Amino acid sequence: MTAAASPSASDPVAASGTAPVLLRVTDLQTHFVTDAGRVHAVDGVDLTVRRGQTVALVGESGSGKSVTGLSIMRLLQRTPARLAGGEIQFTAKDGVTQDLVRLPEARMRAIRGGEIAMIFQDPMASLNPVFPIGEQIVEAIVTHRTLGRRAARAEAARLLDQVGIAEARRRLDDYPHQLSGGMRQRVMIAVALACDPVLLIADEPTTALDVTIQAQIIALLRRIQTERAMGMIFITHDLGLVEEIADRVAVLYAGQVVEEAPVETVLARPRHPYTRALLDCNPHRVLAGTIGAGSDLRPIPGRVPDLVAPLPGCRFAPRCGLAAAACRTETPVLRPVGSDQASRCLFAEAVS
Amino acid sequence: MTSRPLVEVEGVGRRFPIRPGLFGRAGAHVHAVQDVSFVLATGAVLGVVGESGSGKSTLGRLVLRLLPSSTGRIRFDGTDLTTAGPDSLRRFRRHAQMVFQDPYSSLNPRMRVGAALAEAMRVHGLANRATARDRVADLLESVGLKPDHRDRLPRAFSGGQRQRVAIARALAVEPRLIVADEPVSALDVSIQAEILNLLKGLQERLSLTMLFISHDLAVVELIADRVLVLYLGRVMELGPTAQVLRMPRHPYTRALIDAVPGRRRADGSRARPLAGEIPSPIAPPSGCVFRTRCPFAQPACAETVPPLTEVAPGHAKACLRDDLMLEDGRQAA
Repeated sequence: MTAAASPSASDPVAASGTAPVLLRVTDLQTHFVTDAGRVHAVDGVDLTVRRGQTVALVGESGSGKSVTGLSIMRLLQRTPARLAGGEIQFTAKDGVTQDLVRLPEARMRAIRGGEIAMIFQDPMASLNPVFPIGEQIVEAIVTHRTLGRRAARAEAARLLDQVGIAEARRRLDDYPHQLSGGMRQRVMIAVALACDPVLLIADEPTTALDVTIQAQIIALLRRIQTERAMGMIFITHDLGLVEEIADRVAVLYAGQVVEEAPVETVLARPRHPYTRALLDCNPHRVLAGTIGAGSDLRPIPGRVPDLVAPLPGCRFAPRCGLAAAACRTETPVLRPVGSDQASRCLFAEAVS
Repeated sequence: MTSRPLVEVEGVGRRFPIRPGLFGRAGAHVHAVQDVSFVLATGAVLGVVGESGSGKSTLGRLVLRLLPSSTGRIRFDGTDLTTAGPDSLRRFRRHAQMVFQDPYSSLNPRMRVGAALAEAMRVHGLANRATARDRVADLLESVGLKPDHRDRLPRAFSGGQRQRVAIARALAVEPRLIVADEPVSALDVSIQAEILNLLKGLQERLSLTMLFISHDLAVVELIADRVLVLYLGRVMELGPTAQVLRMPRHPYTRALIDAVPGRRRADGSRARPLAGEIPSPIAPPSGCVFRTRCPFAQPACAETVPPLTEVAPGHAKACLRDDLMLEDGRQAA
């Protein structure tokens, strides 16, 4: 059950795509039933995460990135959300692969926390304010592992130490409100690691933090991920962060993956106009040295489309500088462009 | 940029009581902003950067006199605001406006946008019922909205559009000074770029003077001529934007730049993240407030508060160490 992470599944292997597949999402459909109609929040997402690999899901508000994460964890309420289609094939620690979409809730409960853990933007909303943090970590440990409370408490202290909390044993009795935002996020990470998950889903874990603290948490996640050869899905709106942490990136737009490739490829040679546009409007790229000073930010004109009744054709076409007549009638599919890159654009080869 | 200063801030500070005095003892205070000085020339944009708790929002409120200062002086167009009476403050308010991070909470949800804009004009006697309609239409167009948007309620707008309304609202009284407190922080990147470009365009066209508060150095770089770096209520560095960001002279500024996601040093390596967290303002470190996290701190740093000293014309730093090489060799293209 403890399944110590084999250090052999190191970064380069995962990045090169030869490590065993941990999670394969195929044509995922998550809909919300609302008064205004059925919202296709996730509309055919494909995603592969290998052991020891970090895959970033990038997109703006409403792109479906968080809903994808929550769908994998099956954390969405039956009303109004529906897992309307697709497969989530997950390989657990024991090597058995099962489709999480069809797994009974009782067995899903063992997966959640025990196999796949999730951390969120706001740790205060995930931590219980009336219990000391130590107890919350202990609870996570005893739920999934066969450890007594005393041993679990020692394990909790070890975990806190591992996530960089000084004097861990003493801090076990602290309440969440006594900690800073960065410390709370460290505690959340400790809770997530309590049962030695093989996959961590991190949903904007640093968005609410100051930049210097963000850098600390990113460094921590990177270290933990490498040490444990854990798979990670890192959800973010910030392409700069993707560069810091991910091996591969899937860019989401209006509930669909529009581009998928290794991080360096996407940043250097995007093959979807939306990715290109996202790069062109990111203010950090000047300061990060990726583009020269004085370059104007180019906003993306228009708005994200209506997900209740999406128009035919490419969803990005109304905002796209490259759009031709065909883009409004033909629906593009995610197709390979080059050796290790995929794009959902009819004119992917023309994107520069 | 013209030479005449519109705003002069001199040794401004603000403390807040945190515990009332008990049994005749003095109560405890927290210094949110301490000893901040700068001048803002007409038409200039000063970026104020710092992390949570650095005092940047408090500073914005002090400049607008939404909050009285505990120490120091603030002059607007030559008038001392710290001693100004209600009449001259009222005149000042027409000339100084604020744009907040969250437009939804700064717009009246039950008031149509046109009415909200017209009200601002009427309060300051800038339009009557007849002229207001045209002026509202012009104003909406100047922020990239349509004249018929005037009949909508704030909730009918997207986040970016709402921020446009908030900007129109600030411009309605033809101010000379705008304090923008994190105006793009809550927006998606694509919308962020739109609003930044809009603010930049308006600032240039109307020669607005602006205090632009942000936690994001990259955003400040795009809009500000000069940057003020705050940490725990004190100025760490102040200077022309390009100089401060390309050749920082304070270790904290260096650390902020290094923390920008995706940034690599000249040799391609990642900078080590700054250790620790911002200390409690209730018990700030002695001497230099940054020393507890500073990789270059020496014993002397605990003894004296480093004065803000000029290192180049218009570029000053508050650091005792003059021997640091903080450039990483990367120059902008």
